[in-house]
Amino acid sequence: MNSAVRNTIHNWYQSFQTGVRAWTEFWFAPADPFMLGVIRILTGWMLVYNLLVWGIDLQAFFGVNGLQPLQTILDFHASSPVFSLWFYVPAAWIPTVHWICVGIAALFFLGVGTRVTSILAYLITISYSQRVPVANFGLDQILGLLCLYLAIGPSGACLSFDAWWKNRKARQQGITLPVPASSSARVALRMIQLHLCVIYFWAGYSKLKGDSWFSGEAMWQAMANQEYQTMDLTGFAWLPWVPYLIAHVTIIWEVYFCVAIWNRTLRPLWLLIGAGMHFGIGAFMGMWTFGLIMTFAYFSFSDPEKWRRRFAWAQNSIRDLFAEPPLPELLQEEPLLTEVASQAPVATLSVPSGTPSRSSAVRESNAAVAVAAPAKFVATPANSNPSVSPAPETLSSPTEPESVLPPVRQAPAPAAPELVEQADDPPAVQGDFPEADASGGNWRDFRATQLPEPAGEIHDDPADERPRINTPVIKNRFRRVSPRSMMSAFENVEIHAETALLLVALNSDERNTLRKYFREVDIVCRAASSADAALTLAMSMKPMAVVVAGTLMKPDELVTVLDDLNDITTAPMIALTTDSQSLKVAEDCTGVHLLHYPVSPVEIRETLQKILFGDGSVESSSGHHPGRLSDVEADAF
Amino acid sequence: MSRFSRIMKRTGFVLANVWVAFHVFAIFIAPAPMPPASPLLVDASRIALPYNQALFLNHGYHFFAPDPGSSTLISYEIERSGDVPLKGRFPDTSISPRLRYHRYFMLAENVWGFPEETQDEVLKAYARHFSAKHQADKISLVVLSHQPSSIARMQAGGKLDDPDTYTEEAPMPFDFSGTGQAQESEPDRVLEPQPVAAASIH
Repeated sequence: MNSAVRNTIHNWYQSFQTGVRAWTEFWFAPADPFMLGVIRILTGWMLVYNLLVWGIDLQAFFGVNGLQPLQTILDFHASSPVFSLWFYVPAAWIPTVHWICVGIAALFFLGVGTRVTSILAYLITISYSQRVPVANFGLDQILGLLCLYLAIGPSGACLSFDAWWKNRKARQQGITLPVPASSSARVALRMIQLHLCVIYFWAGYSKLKGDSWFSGEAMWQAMANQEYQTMDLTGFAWLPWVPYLIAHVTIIWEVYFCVAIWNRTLRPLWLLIGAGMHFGIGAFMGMWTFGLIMTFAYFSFSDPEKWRRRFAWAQNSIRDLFAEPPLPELLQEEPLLTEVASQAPVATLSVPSGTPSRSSAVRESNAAVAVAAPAKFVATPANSNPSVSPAPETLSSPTEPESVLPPVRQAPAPAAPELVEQADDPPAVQGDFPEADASGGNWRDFRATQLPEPAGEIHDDPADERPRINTPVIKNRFRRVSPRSMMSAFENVEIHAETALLLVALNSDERNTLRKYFREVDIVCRAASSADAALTLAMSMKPMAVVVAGTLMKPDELVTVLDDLNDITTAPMIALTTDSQSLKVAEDCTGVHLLHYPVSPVEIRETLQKILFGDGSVESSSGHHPGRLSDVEADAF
Repeated sequence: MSRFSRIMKRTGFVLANVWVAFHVFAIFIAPAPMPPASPLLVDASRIALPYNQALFLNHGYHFFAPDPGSSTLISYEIERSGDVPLKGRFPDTSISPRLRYHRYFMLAENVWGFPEETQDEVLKAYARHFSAKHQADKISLVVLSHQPSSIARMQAGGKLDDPDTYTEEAPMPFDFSGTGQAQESEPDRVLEPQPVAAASIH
């Protein structure tokens, strides 16, 4: 007998323990807060919109003697522990306080200081609702409860400014920090889920009290309510089974939501029906705000991992859509070459006034030919006979006075196509180009004018009279690549651009601005958007100079990047620095030229010119300056 | 972890569990007293009423229930000497955005769910607001009920805004020329249905 009692008690105790474990697991098992971030964005957006609409009739609704007089509302709430900041705001301060509330709601939407702004957003939500209870409807109820649960959970842990700010350093290093799961996230998500069940249960249960929901007339009455409808649905009077069916489905769906939603098989169907119902309420009854806010709560049932993947996919798609090609010159030169060559029998480069003549430039220059610039400005159609040069047609650079080819330092390794010099004729460029372009032209022969003679391996063969420069790399320059990332682009493409500038700028606006400028002034520029990409590029190419923008870098990080680049390349380096970065760079990096923010692209170019051509006025962290180039090159630059 | 920390953590966990249990009970019981409801449910809901009121969770969630029924509108009329009366009504479909329209709609719909003294004060506030808007001292409000047309009526050629779908209650005159106190309104009575010309409240 005793053992039977003991067994019974033991079984009960075990069942109790199992129940406690299940309860604890259900409410407090750490959860991914990602979906809270999604709900926060959506709810925050709705809150901002709601407040902006309140702002249209602020005095009418919230004025002391408005449509809902303050004293009347205070009397109504007299016996209730109700809070609203509007109970304490003087009439003159109503607009100011309102716009402060809008600002806080916007911060909550963006996830700025979310721990604080989520609580304030909740207080703001209930303050507006409690002050004007007569004007409330479903939107205010759902907005209030969502803001409450978003204030309880870590709604700013994901998809927020807070998260971005917290991870900025790791992101610069290419690391994505994991978001810790938390029990408070689980509590908040469970509360939203449970509250949805409660809402639908009572919504369905209350409909059971009415005859019209059983007769099916209720849905028709809702459709035929002229004050609600935004679209004439009276055509259903001739298809009455449709509103009848919707009424019956609504009852079943609402009453059984609290059961079906916990079944993994039924959950998608139930949520789909719910979304359809609420979108229908929005579209046909004009209550988009209510319909949407209800569906926002559905995200609490979603799998965060799936949504993470969807967000990542969307992010990558947008990035691919708007991002510049990793090697824009490679991709742009081909059509440029084709276009220019097909349009101009002979293309020549305008020579700025004061610069040496073409022939003198060819004779005196030791500079190698830039890779991109010739392709852009000197290409001629292949069917033009190099020995019989037609009258040159001048192509102007967008910035003509500065439209010159970028020089290189003394190391001559021209990456241009074959350059052919024939007395005073424009030199023809030959390269291992594709056999034919889109127009069917032969690209074996190219004519270039006004080009400085490359300082590299020009083979003067009297028999041939065509000095040749072997440029095996040129093939790659005409191969279209569609890399998925910067890094993958450089894995297969070898770049020999000793005349190119390496630009390192983490900030995309800054990077694009500088690259665009350099391109306009015909300085070939490879841009890197991260330290890794910069190092890879520096190894792949031999830049004539390196410009590192310190934006988004801490002083230590900037020093690290400069040191690493310095190990790889001997090119002169210019660092664009803030005051704090300047001190650190000047202290730790030698041979780096400093330019202090704010700095214009023109200043950078002038500094480059001074560094490369020996003007001693450039500030350097070590006072070191690279060798001086010839005046001709300087002029060309 | 010190013994004190352990005790505090355990206490916090127990309190969190108690709060979760109470909160679930509170949100579940909040809509229960909506009539018709048993005294048991009404009394149970009072346990959590202050909590729900403080957190703005005391809602009924009776969307379009128990029956969608008619919608309520409020029209006002301002007599003008030597001119036709100025008439207006809210909600008016010309109000935008739609959320703002719904706010005005709720002003007409919800006022009847409040205690009678609150109703009187709110209606007086409506009258004062619109009389001030049109710079008038006297105004009369009329509550209208708009019954949705039935399927049979539509099939017979009826329309949603047929005049006999509107039911007017007795006008409630307000006079703010003197002390600002409104005159006593006449006892509510159902009049013969009259079509009301819609006018913007702007």
